[in-house]
Amino acid sequence: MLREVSESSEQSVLLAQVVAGDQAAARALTDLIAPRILRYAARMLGNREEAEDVTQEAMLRLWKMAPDWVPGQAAPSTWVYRVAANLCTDRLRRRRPMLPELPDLPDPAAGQDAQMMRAARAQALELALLQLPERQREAVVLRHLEGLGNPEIAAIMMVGVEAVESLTARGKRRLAAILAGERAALGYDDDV
Amino acid sequence: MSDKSDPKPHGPQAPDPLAVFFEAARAEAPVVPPDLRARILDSAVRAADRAAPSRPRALWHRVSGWTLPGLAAGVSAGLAGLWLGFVTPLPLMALDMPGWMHEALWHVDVIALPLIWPDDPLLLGM
Repeated sequence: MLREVSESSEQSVLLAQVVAGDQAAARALTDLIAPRILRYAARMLGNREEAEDVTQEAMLRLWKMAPDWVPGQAAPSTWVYRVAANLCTDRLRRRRPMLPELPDLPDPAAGQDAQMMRAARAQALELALLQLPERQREAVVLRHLEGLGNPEIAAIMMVGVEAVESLTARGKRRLAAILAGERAALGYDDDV
Repeated sequence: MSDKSDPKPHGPQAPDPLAVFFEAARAEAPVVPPDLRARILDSAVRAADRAAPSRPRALWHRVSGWTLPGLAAGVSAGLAGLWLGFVTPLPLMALDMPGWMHEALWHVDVIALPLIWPDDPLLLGM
């Protein structure tokens, strides 16, 4: 909690410096927030180019809002996550439904190295995430892949903490069901 | 990572079947392409330029708020004081001693007292 408060105030200070025209602060804030937003948007949309557009738009909105930022509220990164989430939702609603296919998985018996196995697992998870309902996907990605706390996720999704816990739990159950058939192929049994 | 904000251990927990997948996905470091980073930083510069007020606007921002009303109130109070200083003595004199009283006093001083000629208590040493 203390770390969150500290991070929030540090980001607010950087944002104030950006308003004053400090380019180093803009670089620091970009390097702090943009990679996380890009990764989050890519997982929500399943499309790298669209994720880049969302990241750029979300950061631009942060710069525009910066002069009116009130310190002591949520961290700027939380605000950008919320903007990115809304932008992703808009894009997903405009999009036709698509059914992603799981990738060709490596055969664990064939002696694949650990790095390839990990990449395959990550890719399988990314594709399984795209099969989740949007809100469940959002909650699972923010909680388990972005590592945010439930209160922060609740602020981003504009719901209560209990709703976040419920969405995360349902999302994980569905993910487990989707990935159940792939666990052996992905070497899951070797790790547990 | 537990889904609860404040996880409390309730005996041995079953291993999370998704843990290895999450771990593998988290291991991928997010990288922002240089051109995207450049575009974001460029937009930051443009937004800061747009937000920076021009000299007249900066001056206006500085004197707006409480400064300008405060100055206006001070000037108004000063002018009101000057006006009162010039104008008030006449009405006050008029209130202090109306015209009919001046005439009455004149009658007392010039006509009545010389006729009666009472002894002045002050001259008698009382």
